[in-house]
Amino acid sequence: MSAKRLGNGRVAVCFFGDGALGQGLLYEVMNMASLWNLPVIYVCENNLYNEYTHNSETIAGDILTRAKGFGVPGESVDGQNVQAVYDTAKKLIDKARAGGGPQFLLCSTYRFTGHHVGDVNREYYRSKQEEQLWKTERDPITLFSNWLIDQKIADRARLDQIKSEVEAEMKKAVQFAMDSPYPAVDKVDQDVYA
Amino acid sequence: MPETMLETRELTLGAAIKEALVEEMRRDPTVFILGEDVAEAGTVYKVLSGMVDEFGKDRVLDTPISEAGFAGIAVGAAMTGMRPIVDIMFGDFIGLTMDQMFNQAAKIHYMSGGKWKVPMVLRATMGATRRSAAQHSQSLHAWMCHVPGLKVVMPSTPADAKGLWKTAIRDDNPVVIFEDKMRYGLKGQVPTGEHLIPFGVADIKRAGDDLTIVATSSMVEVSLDAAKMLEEYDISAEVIDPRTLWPLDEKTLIESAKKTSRVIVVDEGYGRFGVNAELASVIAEGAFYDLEAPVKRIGAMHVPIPFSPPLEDATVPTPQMVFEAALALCGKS
Repeated sequence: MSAKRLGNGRVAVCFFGDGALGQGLLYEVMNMASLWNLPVIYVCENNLYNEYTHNSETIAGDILTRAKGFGVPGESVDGQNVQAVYDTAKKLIDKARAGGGPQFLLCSTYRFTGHHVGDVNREYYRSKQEEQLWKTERDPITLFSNWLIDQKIADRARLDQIKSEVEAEMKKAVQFAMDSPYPAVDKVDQDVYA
Repeated sequence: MPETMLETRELTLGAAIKEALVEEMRRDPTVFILGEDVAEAGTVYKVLSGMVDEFGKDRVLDTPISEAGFAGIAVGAAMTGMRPIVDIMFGDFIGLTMDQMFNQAAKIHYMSGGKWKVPMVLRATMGATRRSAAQHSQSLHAWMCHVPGLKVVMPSTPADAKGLWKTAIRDDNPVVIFEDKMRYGLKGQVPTGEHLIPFGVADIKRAGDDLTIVATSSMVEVSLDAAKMLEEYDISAEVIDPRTLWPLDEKTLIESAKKTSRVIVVDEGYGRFGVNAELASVIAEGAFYDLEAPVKRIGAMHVPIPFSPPLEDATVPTPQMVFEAALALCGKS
């Protein structure tokens, strides 16, 4: 809305999971975005699970058809394929930025871990084999790394180096957080109001 | 608690709630549960674990993440012969159900001149200190109390939870039950079988003469701890649990206030514009000439519940806070 009113060329990209498809609000805003030709990309990360429930139990009909019903064009893409997501997203963003109105991008993906930290025993809603398959066969980082090597853009040694650098940085960040003191209690009402 | 001839045994709060639901679903085939992750998952706190095995997926029904939609479906089902139980895993999400609850469920009986009834129960959680941050830790029961047509239930013990739940399911009105998510493991003696507790009857959890502490839900335990601390100062505190906020047992609160002349009200909702304000006001109006001091309110701080543990702990009432307020009220601080 602000992008349209201010004419600043911005595009809003709205990310949500397949679980959020259950929320009526999505259909209210897609209707308005389409009516008012707003530059919005609705990105649905379909990871198959609404918390602990498979989406075959929660989604009726076809997802892209829902968007189409509001006059919002959509495309689906393999969410584990970095290049495909980039290319399709760019196309949709360019269209929205050029005044083409809202667009819908459906990415097929997976949630590698639980819905939250306590969601450890997941076998009552999905098998360990399924999780393993996605992690070993369909990890987007692995797939993209293989592609970079195939295209001779990077070699294994360089990618391994990047991986260990990132891991070290993350480890450092976690350590920093663990070593930092908790905030003082008198900070409790900081930032309640602007 | 009313005298009962039923046998008792120890159950957790969670098990007592489940027992009430199981018994009522066996008794009445129109009772069914719907909500997110209620079936195989048995809800996020596992309170309903195993119920789908006994009652099947038609009566323990997993929904999409569509709170407004399934609350509305429950209202319609309740009007047409069923007794639905709507499960909202975090009370923080009741906002999503609100139009169905306060404009539909709460008003249909009145606006139809008593022709339509809405016998449904909405269960939600409340309570902080689980490190679940600002959107999963609130105690928003005051919202539901504000609207005529809804009944609001706040069990503090396993026995009360069972008895109030069974009454709620048999009530012909929309009832909202808030359960403290931190207390599902709380143990207590629970009567077997037909244990029903009427709405609008407060329970004196501890008798005392010098000070009345009116507390709801988990704040009952907090207040009982504070009452124990006060013994060392020779202050005898009476702790009263209204058990249902609407209907409210005003008489018991006022009588206790007249007897002790000093009152603290403790509720985990936000301190401003909340349940405490109503309880304090009822007591002030009913016992004004017997009070030695204004009624003291203790509630959650007027900030979003923080994620950081020491900050979160500072925002909700503790035994120490109640203890200190009591000392001050009795002129011993």
